[in-house]
Amino acid sequence: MGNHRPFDIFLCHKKSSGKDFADHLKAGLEELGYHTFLDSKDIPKMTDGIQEWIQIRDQALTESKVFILLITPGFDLSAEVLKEIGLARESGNKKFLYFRHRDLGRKIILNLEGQKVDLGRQEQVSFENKEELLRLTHGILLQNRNLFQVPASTCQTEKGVEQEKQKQGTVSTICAMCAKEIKGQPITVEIDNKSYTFDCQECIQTFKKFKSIYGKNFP
Amino acid sequence: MRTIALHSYKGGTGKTTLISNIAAMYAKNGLNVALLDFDLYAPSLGSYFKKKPNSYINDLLNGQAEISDILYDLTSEIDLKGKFFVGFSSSRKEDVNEIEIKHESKWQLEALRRFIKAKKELADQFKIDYLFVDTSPGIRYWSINTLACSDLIFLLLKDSDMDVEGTQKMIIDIYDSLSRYGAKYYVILNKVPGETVKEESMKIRHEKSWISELERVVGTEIVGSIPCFCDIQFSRHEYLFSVRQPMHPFSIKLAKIADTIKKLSETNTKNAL
Repeated sequence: MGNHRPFDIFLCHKKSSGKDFADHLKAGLEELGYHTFLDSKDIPKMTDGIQEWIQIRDQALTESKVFILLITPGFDLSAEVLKEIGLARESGNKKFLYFRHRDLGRKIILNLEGQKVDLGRQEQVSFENKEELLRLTHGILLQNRNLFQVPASTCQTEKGVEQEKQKQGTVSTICAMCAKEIKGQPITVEIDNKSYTFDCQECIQTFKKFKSIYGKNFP
Repeated sequence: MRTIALHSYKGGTGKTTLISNIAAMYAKNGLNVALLDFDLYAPSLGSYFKKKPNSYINDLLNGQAEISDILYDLTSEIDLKGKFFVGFSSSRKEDVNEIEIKHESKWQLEALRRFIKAKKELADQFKIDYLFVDTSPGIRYWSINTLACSDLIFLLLKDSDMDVEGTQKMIIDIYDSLSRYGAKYYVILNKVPGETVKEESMKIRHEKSWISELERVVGTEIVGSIPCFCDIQFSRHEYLFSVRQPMHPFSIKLAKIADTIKKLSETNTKNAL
């Protein structure tokens, strides 16, 4: 366990109805650089008894920053799923993402050890198939990228690149229309008494079109 | 690369059918073509091409996908000489709502810039000759944005007072502004009733004089008219008919319009140079 890499995401699902979705999501997220816990893949088959199984599961739950619940038919009847939701809520330091299969209604009341929790009041994202589920999850994780230390595929953000350039003393000029870095000779044009820099004639024309329609509200 | 948008004041004018067929005809003739569904409020290309891609134009606008991720290559599926890429937009209720109401103006500007950047990549990396943009009808934020990014705009018009008046208004409010900075716009009449009647005396109006009158009212050149063909109009799923049935009168009419659009875009490019 010396090289243990903490999990970023904990995937909670009901096996009988959510396994295919969970498997696809786990594989896709790992590919994108998010270390994702899925019990069937991350608890070794040779695990010695239920206590060790619980111990591994609980550790993954503790260290994950995001808790994803797949709402598929009958998920609320699984004692294990309810247990994991309860533990995640107790830990209090997680972002909860609720993905609901489109066949199900959004009004769901959970009974967590006597406490009623209305999932209908939480923000839910509906999905139809596993490809859509992965796409939507990736989108939301990108919006919450600050939660992770190493979201591999997105660590080179535009801002990051710009900051790096500033450190090196090479501040780039950005086209006022397409926001691309200008590689050649910048073209500076005065429009409505204000100076703008562009990278090509096409951007100047497009900018003028927008300005003529949106006026001072553009850009 | 030339960017061509099909637009209309009202929905149901036949934009998707026409733009898909014309784009496929160009690709059949060996041109590299991309077709993007920018009817973000009521997407239809997904259902027209019966595709469910992994990434949508919405993802591109959100900064979650590159143009290469959202392009669906249909070249070999339809057996075309040139490349034929289609970019779909998402019809999920949440995605449509997000475009419509959720995003603030900062996001809208960033999204617009991502689209312009993607356009450049289509020209530079994918060597696209013609980019066709299917737009939202009427005057809406993303229909204006896509029109402003186009070189040539074709307004589809059905012969109804409501459509004619709305089109007149759009021309004054939007098109005239765009044309001051190089955009050209023309009208195409679609679903024209009675045009298939052969006997001149049986026609309810004389086509040429009617078109001249309409040009005067709308104040724009009409560069083509397509009769209302019942077999196309009431087909449950018309699918690239003009490529599959090139000898049908609808396909022949459309081929003529496709040719006109090509000539106009070439003239427009020459004038811009």
